[in-house]
Amino acid sequence: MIYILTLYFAARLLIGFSRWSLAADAAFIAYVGWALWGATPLALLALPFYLGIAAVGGGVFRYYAGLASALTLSGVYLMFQQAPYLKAFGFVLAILSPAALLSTVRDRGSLEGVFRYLVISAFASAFLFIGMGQRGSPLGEVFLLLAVALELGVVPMFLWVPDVYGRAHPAGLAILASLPKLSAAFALLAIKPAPPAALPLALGALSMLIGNLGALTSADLRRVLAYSTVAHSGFALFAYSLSPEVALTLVLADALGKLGLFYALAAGGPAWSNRVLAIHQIGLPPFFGFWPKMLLVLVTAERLGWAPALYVLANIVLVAPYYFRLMDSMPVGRSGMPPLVAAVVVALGVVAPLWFIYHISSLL
Amino acid sequence: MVALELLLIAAFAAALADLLAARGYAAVAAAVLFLAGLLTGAGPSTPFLKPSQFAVFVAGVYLAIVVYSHFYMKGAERLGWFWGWMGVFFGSMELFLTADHWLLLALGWAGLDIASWGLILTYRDGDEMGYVGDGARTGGITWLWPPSSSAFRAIVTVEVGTAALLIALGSMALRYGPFVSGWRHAGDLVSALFLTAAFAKAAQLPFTDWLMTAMSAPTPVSALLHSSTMVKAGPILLLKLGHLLAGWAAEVAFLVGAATAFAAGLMALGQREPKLVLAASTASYLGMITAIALENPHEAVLLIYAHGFAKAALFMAVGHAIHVTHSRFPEAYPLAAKIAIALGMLMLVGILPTGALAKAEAPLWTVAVSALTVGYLGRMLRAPTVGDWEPMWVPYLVLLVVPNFLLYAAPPPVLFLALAGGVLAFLGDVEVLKRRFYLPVLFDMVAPTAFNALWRLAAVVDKAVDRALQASAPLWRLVANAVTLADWLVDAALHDGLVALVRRASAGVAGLRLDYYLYVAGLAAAIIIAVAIVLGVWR
Repeated sequence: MIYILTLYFAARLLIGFSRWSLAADAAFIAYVGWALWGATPLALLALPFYLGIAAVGGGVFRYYAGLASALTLSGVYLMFQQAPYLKAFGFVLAILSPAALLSTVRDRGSLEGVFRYLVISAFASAFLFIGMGQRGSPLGEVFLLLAVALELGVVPMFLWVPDVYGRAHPAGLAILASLPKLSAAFALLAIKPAPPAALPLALGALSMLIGNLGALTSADLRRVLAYSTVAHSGFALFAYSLSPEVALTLVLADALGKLGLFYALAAGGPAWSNRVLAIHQIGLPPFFGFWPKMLLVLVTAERLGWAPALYVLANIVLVAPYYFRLMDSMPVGRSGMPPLVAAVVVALGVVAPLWFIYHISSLL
Repeated sequence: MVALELLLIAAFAAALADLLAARGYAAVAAAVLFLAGLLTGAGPSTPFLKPSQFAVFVAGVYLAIVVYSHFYMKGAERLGWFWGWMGVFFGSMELFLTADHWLLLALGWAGLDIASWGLILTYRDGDEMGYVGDGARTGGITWLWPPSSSAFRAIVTVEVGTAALLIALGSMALRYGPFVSGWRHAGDLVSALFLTAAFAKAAQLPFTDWLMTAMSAPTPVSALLHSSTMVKAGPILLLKLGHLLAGWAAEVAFLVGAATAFAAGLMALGQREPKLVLAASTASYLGMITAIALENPHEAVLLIYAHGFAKAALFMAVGHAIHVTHSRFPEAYPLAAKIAIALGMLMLVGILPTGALAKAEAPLWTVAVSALTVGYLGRMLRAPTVGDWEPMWVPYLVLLVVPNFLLYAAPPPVLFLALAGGVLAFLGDVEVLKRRFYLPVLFDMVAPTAFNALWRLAAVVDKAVDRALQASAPLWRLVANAVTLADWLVDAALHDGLVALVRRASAGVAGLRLDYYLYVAGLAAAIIIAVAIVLGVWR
């Protein structure tokens, strides 16, 4: 595989970057997806990566998104290998490839954002290397969790998220806010950090509240979405110690929503798709966002009792006001990506809900 | 050997043929066919029927009476109606006797009711022969009933029993399945319903009077339905289902039956119409059979036979006198009729061999009923004799003589005591007996008045409800207005108030600058975690 990856990378550079070369990326993604999940329903997990091919709507890196998406999926593939160095390499590949496209519009804010994200990723990678070196010891497991948590933007390491998202151009954020987050969630399943159970619960609980407060009190739509990412990452980390497959599904739903919404923020989308994506993010049926949140509340009630479940439910409800606000102030345009994502979200919500999540548990 | 089902179908087909041809030959053919079939061992070929010991008896009596009817009904109007209903009665009676499926049982029972109703209506209302009663006005009612009111009284009274039977049969079928032979213990309520059905059909107290006015029918009908067969359906029902009924049923049947036996026997002493005498006597003997049916079924069966032969013959004999004198109050009786009355009396009392067999195990109190019998039949024997030798006498004398060679026993001496009742034949008119203890008042005045009062009461209540509803219109309008107002308030709150409130709150929250504090909170959490990790490493 590592040779095929190298071959692909070399061939890709030779083909060059144009509209039609994206087909080669799609083919490679299909190959890696097949290698990872075969013909099982899990193949649906490759959906965000296919969408990622066209996730950069404008700017100089427009036709590099396919390569970034393919490399990210390759990184996910490597994370699921046995050797620790492959896991570490996969993690770095997955979180950095999309980040390079952040400055596609080449404005000052995006460049500053890229730089900050590189610093943060360096820290995350360092945490991961430390943790991999001390697997089995509590401290090592804590570092592994912190690496993922830093990448997800969970309290206390959430500060970079509104900082980067708040200054970069949304054209590059569409891919940055989706694929690396999803890769980090895959890292949870692939590396399986086992810190004291209270740590992810505490960080997740704190993160969902702080994310919601931040989103509620922000005016800039990019910052609203940034804080919303913090809140949703909090949901996922909270779910990790209870039911890892629900954690992955939470991040998957959030990644799809963020991809569509940032794209619409940059290029404008039809009003109906904006609404569908916002409602999906709130977590109302019948859209896909509803199912993992429902499972989160049920699993919490079952494992931890009604009081924590009520706390989680209150935080899910707190998501609603700022997304309703955002829904009406989104720019309206005619780009094709947000309707596509909205269609995926509707289809998954109607067709896929629970058996899909059940299949994800086979990854564990 | 013929299937019983085919015989039943032939009986109903004969009824249809007689209705259309108005001749009565099909009835004779059906009776002969049925009798021959049963005597050569016809049996049921489906599980819906079971053989019955009474089937031959009913067919034999029917044959005798059908032959007699050819003489009696000569020149009568509406013969198609008469013969058609006779056929329906015969088919229904045999169906009732042999049915094992509850629906067929109910069908046969209901066929008896409606055939009785149709046959009572044979004479038109203006025809003197169809009246019952002397026309006196006592006790608030006129003692004269035309066929139409007789038929109405009969069907309404008997349908009380039929309704009870339908409910009881239905509930038993729900519980144990449709076949009567598969049924087991019946509950208290169902037992009571079965008893009610049997009492109403067999003219037991207080349902006695429909049988008296049923004498509006031609005499052959009285001989067939209202003495020997149809009214026997009551005791026969008790014999069929007796083993299912609750334990107290036998006592109730005894009390009601014994009371009816004496009361109706006394009524018979007071009647001046010979057919009414025989009707009251029938009620009396049905009472005796009902009283015994649940305690000694074997004895009851023999009584049903003996009474059936004797009472059918007595009716035909009295009908002979009516036919000859053209009066409901015959002054004189033909000699053959007198002989038949004497023989019938002896069979009822238990001195002729068949009667002796029937009375062999009867309890002692029945001798008192027999004494009453000698009293009211002796009064007929005191009447003058008239010469008439029309061969009408053949069927009824056959019916009185032939059974003695088939069913016989020597009479117990104690039965001769009953002949002492002959002194009652010289009793004068007793008003209370003549007026049948004023029981008709219950049916002709009290019941209709109560029904009317109930009807009026319903009308009054209905009117009051209507008035109240009309008067409450303003109240409804007030409620509607209140609902409208509440709806408007809710709408206003949801459409304007709530939305504005949420928008204002959202804008207020969005205006807060929390960033700084969130940074601080994040840093604090980071420091805490860092300290925890360091402490963990150090330890």
